[in-house]
Parts: sequence; C-alpha cells; structure tokens
Amino acid sequence: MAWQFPKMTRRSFLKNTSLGAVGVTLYRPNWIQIAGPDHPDPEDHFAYSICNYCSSFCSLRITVAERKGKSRIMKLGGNPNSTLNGDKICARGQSGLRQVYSANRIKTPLIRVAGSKRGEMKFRSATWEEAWDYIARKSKNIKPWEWTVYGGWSTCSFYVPHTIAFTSAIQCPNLITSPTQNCVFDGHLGTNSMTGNFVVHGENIEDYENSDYILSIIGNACIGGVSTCRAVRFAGAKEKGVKVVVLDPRASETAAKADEWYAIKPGTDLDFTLAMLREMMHQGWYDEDFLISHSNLPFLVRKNAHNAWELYLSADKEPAVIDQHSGQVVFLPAFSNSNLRSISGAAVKPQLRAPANFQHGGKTLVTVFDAQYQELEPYTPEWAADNTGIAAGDIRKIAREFGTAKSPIVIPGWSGARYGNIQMLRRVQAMIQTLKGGLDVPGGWIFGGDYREQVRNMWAQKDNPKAPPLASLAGMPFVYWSANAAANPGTHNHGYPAWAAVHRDQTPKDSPDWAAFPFTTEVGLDSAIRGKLTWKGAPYLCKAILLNGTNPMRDAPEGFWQEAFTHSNMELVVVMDVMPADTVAYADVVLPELTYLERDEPAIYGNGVNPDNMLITRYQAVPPAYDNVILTDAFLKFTEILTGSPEPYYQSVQNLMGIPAARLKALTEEKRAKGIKNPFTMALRQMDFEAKAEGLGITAQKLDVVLREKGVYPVAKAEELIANYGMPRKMALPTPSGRAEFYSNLYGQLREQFGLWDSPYFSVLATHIPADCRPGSRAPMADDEFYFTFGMVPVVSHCSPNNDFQPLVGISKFRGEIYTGLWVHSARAGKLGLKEGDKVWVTNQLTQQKAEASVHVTRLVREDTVFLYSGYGDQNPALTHGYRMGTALNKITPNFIEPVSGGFRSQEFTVRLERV
Amino acid sequence: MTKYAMLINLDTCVGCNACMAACAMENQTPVWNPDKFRTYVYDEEIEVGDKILRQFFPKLCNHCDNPPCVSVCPTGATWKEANGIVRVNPEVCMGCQACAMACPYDARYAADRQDISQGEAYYGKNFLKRTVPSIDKCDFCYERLQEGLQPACVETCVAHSRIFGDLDNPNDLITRVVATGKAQGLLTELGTGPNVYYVHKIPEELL
Repeated sequence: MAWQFPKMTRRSFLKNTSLGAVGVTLYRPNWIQIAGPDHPDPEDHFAYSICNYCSSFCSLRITVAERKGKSRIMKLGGNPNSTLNGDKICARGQSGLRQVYSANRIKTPLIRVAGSKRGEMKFRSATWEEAWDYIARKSKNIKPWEWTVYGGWSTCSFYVPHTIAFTSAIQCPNLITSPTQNCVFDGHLGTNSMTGNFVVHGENIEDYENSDYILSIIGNACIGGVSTCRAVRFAGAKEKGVKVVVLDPRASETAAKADEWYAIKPGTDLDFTLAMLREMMHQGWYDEDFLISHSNLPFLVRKNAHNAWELYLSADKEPAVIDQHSGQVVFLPAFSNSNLRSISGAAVKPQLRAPANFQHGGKTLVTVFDAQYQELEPYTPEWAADNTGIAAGDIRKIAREFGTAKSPIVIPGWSGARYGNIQMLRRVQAMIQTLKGGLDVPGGWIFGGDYREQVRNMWAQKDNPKAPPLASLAGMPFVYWSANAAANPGTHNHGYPAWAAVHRDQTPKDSPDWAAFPFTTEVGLDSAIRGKLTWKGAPYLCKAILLNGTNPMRDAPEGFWQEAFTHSNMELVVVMDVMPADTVAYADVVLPELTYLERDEPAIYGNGVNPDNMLITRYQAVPPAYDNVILTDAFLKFTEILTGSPEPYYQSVQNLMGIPAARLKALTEEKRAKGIKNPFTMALRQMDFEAKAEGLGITAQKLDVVLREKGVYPVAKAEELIANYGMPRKMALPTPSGRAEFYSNLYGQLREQFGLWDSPYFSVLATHIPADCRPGSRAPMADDEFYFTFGMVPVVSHCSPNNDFQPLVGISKFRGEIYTGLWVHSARAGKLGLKEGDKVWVTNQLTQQKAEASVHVTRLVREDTVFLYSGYGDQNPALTHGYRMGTALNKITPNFIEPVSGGFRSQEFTVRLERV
Repeated sequence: MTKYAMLINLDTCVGCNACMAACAMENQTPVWNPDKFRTYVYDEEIEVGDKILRQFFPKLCNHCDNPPCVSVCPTGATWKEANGIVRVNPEVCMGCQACAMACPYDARYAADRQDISQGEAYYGKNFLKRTVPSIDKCDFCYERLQEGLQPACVETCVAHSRIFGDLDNPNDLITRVVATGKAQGLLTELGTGPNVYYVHKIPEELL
C-alpha cells in the first residue's frame, strides 16, 4: 500500500481571490475579472470565440489540446479579458463543444430519398455538387417572390445585414426571422415604443450591480433563464443587499432569489403595472427634471375627431409644451433629445402638467402626463388587487419602494409572447422605468456599447444620402426601413411586395390572422402557401423556403408548419442546420452548417450588451471536422443558382452594407483559387479587419494580434460612452421624436394608418387590455382545469437544439420532473389523485390541442395554474439523446396572434388534465 | 500550510447548473449517466416560516478532515493530501466501492469499463483524462490548481456562489466568512469535518 504525497507546485492562483480591494467598478462586478494564467498547459493553446447559445453572446476562451497531430477542443470557458461575462459561461455554453463532436451532427449534405415524404427523416448523403444541383433543378421555375427566406439563429445573431443583402440579391421580398413572434418583436415592441430599440435584450443590459431595488415581471429569462452577463451582475447586486421582488405564478429561478415573491394570477401582470404606474404618478415618485427635459410627457395633447388622444402639433408637425416661465405654448423641434430649446432656439422649461382647463387656439389642451393620469384613474391598487390576487397594500408598498428607491430597475423582459396584452405590459414597465429617469444611469437600464455606437453613427450619417442602410441604421429606424422595403412593390424589378404586406392588405382587420406590423413574421405565410393571395390579379404563392438555424416545428405553434411544409404547393424546402432539429426532417435538401467553434467569422462585432465597447470575433478553434458551409458562402452560392451569377450578392453587399464589391469579389476568387474553404466569408473577414483597423488607426495585423491574444479589443469604457452619448440625456433615442416616448408615435402611426382608433392595442397611451384565457366563459374553472404557464430552463436554449447534448440531458434527467414535468400544486394533484411522475393529457381548452406530460407535484406554483419548462420534447429520432424527453410545448400552443405584430398568445388559454 | 476549502453562498446560486456542466467537461465524467456527475445542484422546496420557497443547493465531495472513505479503502488508492484534497489513484483502485458506501455525502461513483470505452468515443481516444476504470469523485480540479487555475465549477459560477480558498490564509474571503461562525458544513455531527461550507448570505462588509 503506497501512500503518495505528490509534490505540489505553489502557483499564485490565490492572488485574485482578494475581493473588494479595488473598489466598485461601475458596470460589472469586480470578481468576474478573476483571471487564470495567460498561458495554458504547454500542450494546449487558447482560441477565442463567441458563444452561440443565446443573445447574451458571452465571450469565450477555448482550451484546445494537440496530441499526435490532432487538435481537440477540451474545454470552453468565459474570456477573463471581456468585461461582458469575464471567465463565466452557463451550462449550455459549457456543453457547446458537443456540437462539434456530436455523433448526431449533420456531417454532409442530405437529399431526401425519392418517394419519401417530408417529415419522415429519410435522407441520403450527397456531395455538395449534388445538393446544389438538386436545388438548381427544383428552383428553375420558382419566381423570386415565390421564395421565402427564414433567417434563424445564425442570421439573428450576427448575420442580419448579410441575410437582408441576400434577399435583395435574389430579389426575394419575403424574409421571416426567428424568434420574432415569440420574443423579439412582440413584447420587445412595447419597450421599443418608449426607447426606440429593436432587440431590447441584445441592445440593453440592466445595471443590477448598482441598483437598490429590482422588480421582475415575466422576467425570469433575463436572470434565471440564464443570461450569464446579467446573472453575474445580479449576483453582484445580491451581495450588496439589493431588494429583489418577483411577480411570477410559480417559483422561477429568479423568484428563488427574491426577497418577496408574489404568485400573481396569470395574465394580470398588466393590471398590476397599471396600478403601480398610477400610484407613482399620483404620489410624485418620478424624476420631473428628467421627464420635462427628455420625454414627451410635457407635450400637449387633445382629443381628436375620433375621441382619441392626439398630439397637438404645428403645421410643420412640431410638438408643443407650456413654458413654465411664460405660461405660453411654445413649439419644440420635432426631433431632438431635449425639450429645453424651442424651435426659435429660446430657452424653455416645459410644464409637466397643464393648468386646469387650459385653452389654446380654441381647444382644451392637456399634457401627455395629464392625459395618461386621466386614463389611469380606474386602475387603483384595489382594482388590481381583485384581479391579481396581490393585496392592495402590497401593491402600494411595491410602488412606494420602487418609486422612492434611488436606482430601481424593472426588468424589461425577454420572451414575452404570452398574452395579447404583453406589449402593453412592456410599455407600462418601460414607463415605470423611465418615470424614474432610469435610462443610461448607474443602476438603470444601460444601452450596450455596440448599440450605442450604432446609434451614434446613425445620427452622424443622418444627412448622408449615400450611407449604406445596413451600416447606418439601428433600432426602430432600421426596422422601419426594412419593413417599408418589404412592403414596397417598387423595391424589386418584378414589382411584388412581400406576401406579408399583401396578406395584411387583403385580410379583414378583424380577422384573427391579421396584424398591422408583422415585421419578419410568418403571419400570412399560410395564405401564401395555400394560394389565397393575389397580386395584380395573379396568384401570389409561396413555393419554396430556405431556413437556416431555426426550428419552427418545435418553436412555433405545431400544425401551422406541419401544413406549410407538407402542402402540395410547397415545391422546395431547404434547411441549413448543425444538428438534426425537428424541422430538418421536413427538408428536401439539408445543408450542413459549420459550427461556431470551427469557424472564423465574416466580420468583427461589438461585444453584445456589454456597456463597454469592445470588439470581438470568432477564431476557428479547431479545423472543421467536415466539409460544411458558412451561411454567407451558402448565400453566395444560392445567389448564383437563383440568378445565374454571384454578382448580385457582391452588389447588394456593397449597396446595403458599404463593402466595396470589386475588391470583395477579387479577394473571394483569390481565396477560392487557393483552395480556401468558404472563401467569400474569408474575404468579408479580411475586409472587415482592414476596415475596423483603419477606424481604430492601427493595422489589420495589429488588430489580429490583439484579438488572438486577448479575444477582445477594448475601444471605450461605459463611463465615457454614457458621459458623452448617454440616451436620451446627451443623444437622441431612435424614437420618432428622439425623446423617451410615453405618448407612443409608433402606435399612433399604426392606428392612423389602419384607422384603429378604438382598439386598446393601438392606444398611444397606457391602457388596460385584459388577458382572456377563457373567452366568453364566466363559469368557475372545472376541477381539472388550470391556467397554463411556461418558462425557460437554464439547460436548454432555443438557438440550435442543444438538448441533445449529454451533459445537458444528464442534468435534466437528474432534475427529473422538476425540469421535464408539468408542475401541479400538491393540493390539486391530491384531489385529482395524481402522483409524481403520473402521465396526463394536457388539453388546450380553446383548441383541443393536446400533449402528454409527466406530473411534478409541488407547492411552488399557484393552485390554479400549471407550469411547464419549454424547450423539451424533441420529436426527431435522429436526436438520440434528447428524443422525446419531456413534453413539446408547441403541441398545445394555439396559433392565436395579437393584432399589432402577430405575437403568439402562447399561454392565453386554460388546460384540463386527464390521466393517460 | 494550505487547506483548500469551498464556500457556497446560497443567497446567489440561481440554479443554472453551469458548475455541473463545467465540471463534467473539464473532468470528462460519464455524462451519459446522470448518476455519475462529480457535483450536483439540488433543487429543493423549503419552508421558511409560513412560506414555501425554492432553494438551489450545490453539493460535492467535502474533502473531509476525517474522511470515512479513506479509512475504509483497502488498497490505499484514496488518500488525503497535505493541502486537504482527498484524491483517488485510478491505477491502484480496484473498484470495491467500500469508499462510496462509506461516504455519507454520496460523493463517489464508479467509472466502470463501459464508461471508459464510451469515453474513448465521446472525449476522443488521444485526449482522455481517464483511461482505467476506478472510483471517481471531485478532486477540487487538482490539475487546474497546479496550473494556477480555480476549480472549473468555481471559475464558471455565474453568480459567484462557489468560492474557493485556503483556510490557512487568514486574508482569504472564505476564511473570513468561516470565522464569523455563519457558515456551516453538512452532517458535521458525524465528525467527518467537511470543508465545504454553506452560508445563507455573505456579510456585506467582508466582500
């Protein structure tokens, strides 16, 4: 028996464990910069990249080992040099290397076996030549407008400009993106109306660490879902003793961290926030100086001919305020970040409230503040208490504690597509946040460094008619540009607008499948596929679809896409993905996408929501295991197939992104001649290195050296960026007026365009929209009937099916029914005779859709509510580890949309449980 | 001397399981078997006063002062180092599992022949850290410590819930927290002398 006491080399790993010595850093906890050594084990080396599993875009440092002439990714970790997430990444991030080494990964192009049906997952391996040739043959008679491009995760993360340029090159007016109807363009649009963002969670981060009060309302994804860069800051806040209050019908991960958890009745969050807003406005819990200077609360409004509130504007559409000094009405510039100078340049101090019965030009005028105050009158804490189940005293307490806190944060929220009223909820949340002036201040919502730079550049280019739109627009202005281009028949030579616009114009407004502003959604796709749309007398069909990195068979209401893919009019389905997601089974041709860890990126990016501005890109960690394509090169080849030449893509990239076509083409061909794979992507990369380096005043080589060594290139610190370009204090927000918009011009413009003066969905101010889970029924719920809620689980992300990776599968199996089961309160389960693990049918009472689930008996959910973690239930047997684990949520998700953006009303129903 | 120990702040753990995944990838554990992780995050319903709340509770080997697993090992395959880490030598371990039975924390599992051969395909034949079957458990990422790195779970913990340190260093955060008496080990009444401490909240003045 030999006892061994090996020698231990004493290294100074402990040097970084002394915390708190340096003092508070402004926008991230000190300890996320605890770094390991700069050099790994001599046999290993580091490569730097960006995680692919959610919009947090954590900076990665990858440990790569070389043994016997082969290299292998051994471990993923955060990059200690990045102030976004430091050396931290979540469980999905940690498991990401399994995407490279998964046996189930798509290795070669696949062509559906002749005679088989879409959905059967019957494919044969093919060469690239065969795959492209198949696509060429099948698409010969398909017109450009008969294509739909569905940009999924790869597009959404970094390739939006390249994807839009591609649709332009192939003259395709139809672009869908994911996850739009379930996340980005539903709830977010509500927040966007206040702040002018496009993708809130990709452009803002909450400065939890410097907050003294954090309120979460349908907000688990931000923290517990998990978002590493936010969790890191939230933990910093907890260490400092922040008060956390969470409203959630079940004990989410975030609720588990709360000082007060209120199990609010599902669907009544808006009722709560309206009462809270009312309380704050009544009690004066707001930053008046900020509001009169940088919001449109002091703007004058009156009731128009439709009895709807409308801005009182000059003939030149300039807004008006009452000047405190003179008591007179003064007009302000239509677009500005500030209300303190009139159109003539005179100093103004706007009044937040108008004197009673203020008359001007024969009209009674009030301020937006007054109008909103009036609208909120019925929404007392008592009224909200009745609806929410939260005591009026508690509602008042939360309003008071938030309202009187120094730096409160109400989490803006991520995936919000739950009820028709989710946008209004997020608008009211944004109002609550903005009432306290909590935009771009310590302990508030902070705009990301990269986004801020994009906005700054947009304003700088505002009067440059030659500015390429995809390199000079950000936030909602980008959305408007893109939406207008899609709806405009003149955009393409063929004169067809997007089927989304045609559907909107040919569908009655009160139809359940109508939406006013369906930006890159699938609203109308079914009409296009079925042949219900016409344009200029001719049928307007969708016959072909190209999807990349998106999984609508699992993420969208089931049934819709089942029909779409299998419809007789659908002639060609091309899917690009890494793993055999459920949607892959419905392809005719499958193109294997190169994994994020095996590729160099076509550009250098900003560091996501990091308030510091840092540049980052991906470096290939290991050589590609298979001959797979990067999205941008696939787009180039597609352009060649569909138009006869790759030229249009070089041209559209130049026109829309500002990258010179001639050089891009020359470099691409040069690299192709050298046998370099994905040469177009490499050419784009080289040119972006050159362009970014020039912007920094350094050489491309130097930029490369820094990025290889550190993984990030710091450009500017948050403190400096906010001091100079804080929005809206220093720089205009990308809203129509440049100010924080309590009176929403976004909704105002929509209501006018469509004449929807009475619809609360299009109200310019906050108003009540009830969630109605049991339309037309006042009967008490049945003994086996429940409200239905779902939420994000921290081991699955919607971006690429990673619940086939065994570390994550193992964790889910360890958690058992907590993760993969349906949460039922023990009192209800007892009455129904249900035990842990029992199988039940869960039936949507509005649509009779049903799914099988395993019961998890718990006290951590309201008695009248059941809860299911989303992201499970993969149905493709090719996903051998995650196959049929848990329940596929979208089996019971109804295809009901709200009328503004087509967001899914994905839990606005009740379910009944029945033992299987 | 050095006395490695871990502190877990229950106030901040958000139950994300990053630690479970990081440990598994770093130490090449048999992830195809959910019973064979070196560390687990338990997801519990607890009663605090009249409230029912949810709590996340990470657990791992406690690297005990008085480890029962070492006492029962017939081959000397497992021992406690001077720095406090309880280790296993896979070459010597004969897989009798007496240690696993003796551990009151259920911290050990058997990485058997099947796991080794599965590991070759899963982790890459030339890149294996585990080539012979044996009992396995947390070793506070012994190799990482040698390179000046923190244990993988500690490094990746997004919520700064896992904190690592040296109880013989009075300036270490973990030492200062333990000194307040507010941190507790598990099953201390058994006399194992666990070196993983749990605290409900770290006093702000220590941070």
